[in-house]
Amino acid sequence: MSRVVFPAIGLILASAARPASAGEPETFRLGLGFGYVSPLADPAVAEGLGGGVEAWARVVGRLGARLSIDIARNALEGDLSGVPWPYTGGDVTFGPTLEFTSPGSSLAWLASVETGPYWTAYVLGLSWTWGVNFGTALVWRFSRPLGLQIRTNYHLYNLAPLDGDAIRCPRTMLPAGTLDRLDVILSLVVAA
Amino acid sequence: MTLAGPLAALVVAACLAGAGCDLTLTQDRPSYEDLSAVERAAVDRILARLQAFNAALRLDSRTGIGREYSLGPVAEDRDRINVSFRGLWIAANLGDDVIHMSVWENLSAPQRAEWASWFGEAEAAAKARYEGFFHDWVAAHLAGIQAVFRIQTVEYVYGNRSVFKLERDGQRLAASYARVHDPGLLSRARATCGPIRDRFAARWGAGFTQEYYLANFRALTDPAMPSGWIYFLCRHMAEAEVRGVDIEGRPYTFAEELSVIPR
Repeated sequence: MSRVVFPAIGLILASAARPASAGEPETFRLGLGFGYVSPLADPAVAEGLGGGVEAWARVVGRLGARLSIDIARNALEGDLSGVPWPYTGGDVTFGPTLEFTSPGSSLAWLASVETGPYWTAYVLGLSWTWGVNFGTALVWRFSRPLGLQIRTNYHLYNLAPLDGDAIRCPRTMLPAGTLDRLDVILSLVVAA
Repeated sequence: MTLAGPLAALVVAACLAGAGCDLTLTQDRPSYEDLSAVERAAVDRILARLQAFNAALRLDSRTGIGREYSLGPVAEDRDRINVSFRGLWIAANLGDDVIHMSVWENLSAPQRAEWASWFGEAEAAAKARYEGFFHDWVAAHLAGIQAVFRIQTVEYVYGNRSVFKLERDGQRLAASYARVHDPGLLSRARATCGPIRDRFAARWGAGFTQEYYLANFRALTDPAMPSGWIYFLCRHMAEAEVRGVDIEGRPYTFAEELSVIPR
């Protein structure tokens, strides 16, 4: 295993020293990120931290596809601050991306629309629901193949239960309506 | 971006057709004044039971623990008793000083029919049994859990106790409280739990373990039909009655049962 992994890491680090060359559109990109997440405007759920991994591939021209796995963790507050069980969630989403900048430029600007299953684990248990997110990202390829990406995604989930258990409000036990989350994630990306 | 417009429209349509668009997880509970007459009656009965348990707790914790404990605001504020949800069969205390309890009239018709079928009773008798069991016995059980939260702290319970053992402690405290302070309550609970244990022994009897409970918690406590949770509650009650006497057959007092709760 190490005979493969260490040379691969060395190759990445060595190539990182080379400047990015314009005009070579990348066809594949992997990212690992960490950042801010928040359920918006909820009096009992605090802002939190999260992150995720993603894979992006160019399909044709400026059109690409992105697969993302996100996790988010938020503490409860207000009436529920005594319950030390965090509100955690995440998603596995897939969808198309559109690149606004010229393929191959060192600074890329993309927008995405993705959908997939969302999970939520909190004091009332684990629920899987369907959701969508709308995102935009700036990718700075500061060397080849490494880059930095900052992306923000606005998620809408709990649109429909996937496992028969809707998300319920822990204060009233009533079913929750559509929920949202905003992510601002800084990622290290490796492109090929 | 051509997909964004139709998808956004789809989301808005789903949002409007669904349960709401307020985009918040938590909602405000209706106040006591906003409840229906039967819901207010249920709140009054549950609060009376919590207050009776609280009086016993304040008295007996002094001798059992050496310090006075109380149930806190849940035994003082009727707005902290949540009964307004419909079609869900729930009795819960999450540690946030709120008791959640389903009212008979808010259960669905299949849920009411299922409860009545366990005892072969008509609707009126089944309703009276339900209210006696849940609004008195299960309320005392949730008061017992509240006592554990107050004595051990919510943070400690979530970090160190399993929900199986929390339920067990709730039943032990409810049983010893009733034995000392309201023997009639214990007799009525026995009369309801006996048929429930008999009915579901073949299905869950072998699974009455902490491991099985944790592995199947979501199914056992399914608010559409929590018969598994009710069976486990009645098994905890039977275990509490067996355990609730010393080797000479003398029943433990409520104060003695409280004495083992501090961590």
